[in-house]
Amino acid sequence: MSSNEAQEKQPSAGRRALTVVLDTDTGRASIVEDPTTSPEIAKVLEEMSCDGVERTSSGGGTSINR
Amino acid sequence: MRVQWATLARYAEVEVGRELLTIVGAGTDVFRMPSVPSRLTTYLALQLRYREVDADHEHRATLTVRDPDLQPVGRPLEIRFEPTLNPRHAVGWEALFSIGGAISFTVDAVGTYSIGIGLTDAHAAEIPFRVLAL
Repeated sequence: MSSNEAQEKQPSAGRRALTVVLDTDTGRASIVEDPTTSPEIAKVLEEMSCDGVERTSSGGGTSINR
Repeated sequence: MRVQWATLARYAEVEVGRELLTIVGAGTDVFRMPSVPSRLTTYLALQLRYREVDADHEHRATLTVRDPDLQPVGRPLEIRFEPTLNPRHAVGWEALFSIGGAISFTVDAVGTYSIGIGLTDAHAAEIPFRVLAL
């Protein structure tokens, strides 16, 4: 699905959940119908994989599946 | 309509049909960046609750990224949607609506940022996060 096709789907009726791609630089908010096959999601993941940003949490945690 | 919870993550999407949110790396709130200014992309997951009478009406969620001086970063983002009750919905309960996906913006400096979430013009939640130098 192209970016334009995704954008044309707003506003969207009859939904129970949404996957979106948002960009404040352009103000664009688009709905992704299928994240698995979406070129938009693939592009985002590719950008994130090589942006050199370290993403972490300031909190702590533990697993309970013992 | 209200925000039940909201978090940043390394990945988030909804599974259409089952309406499940898949989230990887939830709780992300520190971004160490090689340089600024630079574009930053992260994922966002929201779980909304709404009354049954609010189903089948259009709602509007607005997202505003704010910089360390509390000034808006870029343009506010608007998501319009019309939730419908799931056949599996339990009558009398609040209904669920999930939103997951990517959000990108430009970071000009290190410091504390936030993503404000508004629902139909009322402030509903805030997600704070920090941008640090790598």
